[in-house]
Amino acid sequence: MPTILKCENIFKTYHTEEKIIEVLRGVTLELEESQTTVVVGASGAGKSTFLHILSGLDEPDKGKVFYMNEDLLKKSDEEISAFRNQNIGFVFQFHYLLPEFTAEENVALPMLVQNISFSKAIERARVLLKEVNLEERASHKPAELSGGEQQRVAIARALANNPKILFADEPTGNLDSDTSKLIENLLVKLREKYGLTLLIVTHNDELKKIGGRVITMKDGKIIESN
Amino acid sequence: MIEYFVAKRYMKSKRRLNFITVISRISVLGVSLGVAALIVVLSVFNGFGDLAKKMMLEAEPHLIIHFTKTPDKTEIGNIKKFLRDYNDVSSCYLFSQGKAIIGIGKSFDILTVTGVENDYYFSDKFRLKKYSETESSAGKNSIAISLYTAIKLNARLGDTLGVTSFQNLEKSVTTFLTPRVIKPVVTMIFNTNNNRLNSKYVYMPLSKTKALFARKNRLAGISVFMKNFKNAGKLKSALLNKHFPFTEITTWEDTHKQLLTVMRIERWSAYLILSLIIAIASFNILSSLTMSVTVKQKDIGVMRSFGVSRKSIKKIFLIEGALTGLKGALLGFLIGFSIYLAQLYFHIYSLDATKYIIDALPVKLYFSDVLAITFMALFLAFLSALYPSTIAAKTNVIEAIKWE
Ligand SMILES: Nc1ncnc2c1ncn2[C@@H]1O[C@H](COP(=O)(O)OP(=O)(O)O)[C@@H](O)[C@H]1O
Ligand SMILES: [Mg+2]
Repeated sequence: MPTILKCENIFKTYHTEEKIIEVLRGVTLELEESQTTVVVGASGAGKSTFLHILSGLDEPDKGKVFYMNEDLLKKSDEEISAFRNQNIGFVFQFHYLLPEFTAEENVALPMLVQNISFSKAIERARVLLKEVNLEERASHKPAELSGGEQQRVAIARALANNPKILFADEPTGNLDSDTSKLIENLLVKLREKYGLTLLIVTHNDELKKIGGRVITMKDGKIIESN
Repeated sequence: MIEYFVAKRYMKSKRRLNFITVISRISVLGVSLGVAALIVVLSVFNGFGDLAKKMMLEAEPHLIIHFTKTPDKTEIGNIKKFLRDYNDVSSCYLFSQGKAIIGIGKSFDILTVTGVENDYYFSDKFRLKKYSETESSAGKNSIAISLYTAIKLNARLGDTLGVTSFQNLEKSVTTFLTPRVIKPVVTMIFNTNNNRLNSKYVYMPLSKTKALFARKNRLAGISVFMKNFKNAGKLKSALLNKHFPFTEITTWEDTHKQLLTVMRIERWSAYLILSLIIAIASFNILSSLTMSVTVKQKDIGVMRSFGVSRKSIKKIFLIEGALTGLKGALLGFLIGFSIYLAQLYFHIYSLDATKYIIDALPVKLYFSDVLAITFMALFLAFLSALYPSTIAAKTNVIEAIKWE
């Protein structure tokens, strides 16, 4: 499978008042298309920071990030925004659904960034909600949903524009073990159905079991890769 | 458009009562108060302005063509033909003018005699507000005086006055002959709302004034009335383009330039001062939006993650500010317009008609004023939204979506 995303020698340092934290110290990684990668490591290892840089949400102090052959770090805000909108889906530890919008509207929002008509977007949002078994909750506000349901809506939203890559940062971090299992299975199912490239970042070793490559991070470096 | 969709929802969701909602409502109310005040005050200004113009122009010509030298018959014919063919001219007449002494019995007064072209003088078009009038056998030997002059001279309808011009007096001083006096009969007493006209002017048929003014002063010019007095300026330029010889053109606007300037300055000051109310109200838009941006950090962060650009985030809050302004402007318009209509039709603020020439505060609303007011409200709301929306655009995504 061809490489879809790669980063070379990434460095990221935070300067706080008391100290300097070297979060990433030379990370290099290639993701192949339709591959699942699970990045594990203790809390504070730099996993989230790494995910943000890979997905174009944040910029490294040093190093390069390429999507196919495009240099992500050379893009303007508008370009990188459009890139994320079209190619990338995010699932975070917290659902971050917009509280003022219904489930289907939340799923439709990323589509509305492109000039898709509102009715078309809602139509597709309903299809996606059905995909995560929430079609009967489509017109509910996030506050009316359970934690697992909120996370499923967030997954549907991540798939709104048929992205190439899905990034998940501790996707089950806030859920009980049964619900976690459900979300894991859902991610696997959707990955297969859409041929997604999936990158999961977690401190929970349980997630290693969902298959694919496992990478271990420690102190801002990849120490183990299979 | 996602920006509009999100902004509108943010506006709507302010139903639940909290601090931001309260401030946002205060800003809407403030803007509407300013807009309503502007509509009412400007319409009162317009009402008074129109009344003043109406009074000014009740008997005064809208445009006067002065002759610097009496032109010959063909020249006058040319000008009159031009005026007749000009669509907006409703009527015009030749006139003469000069100072005269007018007396009856032992009382006299120095007044300006205006000789009005006979056809016009004896037609219904003659625009003096008549107080009383007689059908008399005086024929062309007629004079129209104001009620003011009638009382001053103790003259009544049907009385004969003695009239002689300054020119005649001058001549008699140099020739030692008695000055030529004409004896017209009072056939009309008028009473206009224009005090200058009431106290200084009398009118006679033009043919009668030949005996008063020397040949070279026999014609002073042509007075012109228009269908719409506001177009006097246009007629003036049309006339100037024609280059009629020995003419000078004055419109009513030229004559009353000072008053009109004062009125215009007053209107502008009122507009600017009352806009301050809107400006202060807009300050509340600034604070409620700034708070709203702070509260919505997570929303902004996640929107950025799924591809909403900084520019679009900025737009969301600009639109929210503009919508707040629009809401205030609409509400204010409804309030102001209702007050305006109430005054127009039900005279909620009436005046004592025995003391004033009108029975209610006059009001008049122009569409252009409504546009200017709405524009001001929207502009100020937009200005207030600039700061919060810039803050929103600068949101640090990583900080916003960090889970702690
Ligand atoms: N904005 C920041 N300022 C200072 N330190 C930060 C900031 N963001 C993250 N860090 C630090 O960087 C380290 C790695 O953070 P993170 O990438 O979130 O790790 P992980 O996701 O593996 O738990 C942590 O020690 C954290 O405290
Ligand atoms: Mg993390």
